[in-house]
Amino acid sequence: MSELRWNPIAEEWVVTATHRQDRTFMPPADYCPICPTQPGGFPTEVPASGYEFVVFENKFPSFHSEPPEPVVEGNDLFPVRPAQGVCEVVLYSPQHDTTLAARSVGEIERLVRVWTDRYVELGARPEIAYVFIFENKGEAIGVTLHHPHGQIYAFSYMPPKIERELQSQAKHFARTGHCLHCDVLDEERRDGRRLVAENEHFIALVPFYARYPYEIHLYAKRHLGSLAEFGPEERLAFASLLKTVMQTYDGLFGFSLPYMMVMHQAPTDGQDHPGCHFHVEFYPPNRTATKLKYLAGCESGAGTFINDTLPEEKAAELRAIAAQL
Amino acid sequence: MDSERTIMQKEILVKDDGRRLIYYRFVPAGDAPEPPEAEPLKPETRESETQASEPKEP
Repeated sequence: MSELRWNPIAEEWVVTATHRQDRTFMPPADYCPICPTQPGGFPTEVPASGYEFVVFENKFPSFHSEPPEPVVEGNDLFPVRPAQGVCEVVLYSPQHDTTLAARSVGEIERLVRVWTDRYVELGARPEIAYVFIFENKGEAIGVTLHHPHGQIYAFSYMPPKIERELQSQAKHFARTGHCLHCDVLDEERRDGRRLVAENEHFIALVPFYARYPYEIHLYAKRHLGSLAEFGPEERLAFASLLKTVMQTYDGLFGFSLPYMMVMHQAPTDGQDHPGCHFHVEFYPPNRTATKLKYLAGCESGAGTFINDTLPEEKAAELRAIAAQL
Repeated sequence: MDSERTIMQKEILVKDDGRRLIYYRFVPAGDAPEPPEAEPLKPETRESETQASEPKEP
């Protein structure tokens, strides 16, 4: 079962999806359910023995195209509604023991085209308000399958973090007449201390307000609302800087760094959102090689992050690694 | 540039439980063969490079 339950105190939906308790958890490499099916081998999610990129609907989705009826009845205080939406898995490679960072810039550029196709196709559905592309990487993040993959959640409502971002963008525009993200970028470039790497079309930085020690935001320099607005040169530049950021992370402690990677782009709710500015946010949980940042009482209970490091120092550390790539 | 050299092709299949699976393949521009067959599933449709439609109107 899967349903949305409204929290009237936080004013947000919670997805209740009990079937996800049964999903495959840390299978051995030779029983990976998302590796290509080998001749004579057990059938996996992917019947072809080889491929470049594959996208399929998640076997244990939080949202459904045709959602079941909720198992409980809602009321005025506790609204309940079907968990409508789409959950897709994006396989980055047929190879089990690799990462996105190891793929070439050309291959990542092709993945950008796959992501763009999914953004546009899912976003065109009338019930989809927001297409959220993300990757959870590493056991520290809680991944259950090691095979390199990302995910896409197509929401039937605006996720609360995106809603808040839309509101702050609108307020800033009303006050200044400027794009909030463009102003943030201008300030970061003027200051310069938190920049990590850049190319002609994209820039990577540790934001002034970083919550995680090695948090990086990767921005389009031009005011682009979504992947669908990229030109060929921008796709390639985006792929190139994505690889740089991921290689920089992998150079930090001598192991493939776990992270959450999330894309923020224009909603697909049919409304005009001129303040949206495409960017990717990386949240690596490591604060050292052996210590993790946990979302503990203050973060989870009060909503305030405590960053034990200085963004300016962490950016310098990351910039030095990026410069040597 | 890669996107000028290759065309993206999609092959969409439907699994027994109704879930969609999409193979994305990239072939040289001007030399776009039929994508190879994948095994047991039912082909739903097959299409080449999608210049996707604009997001819906309000």
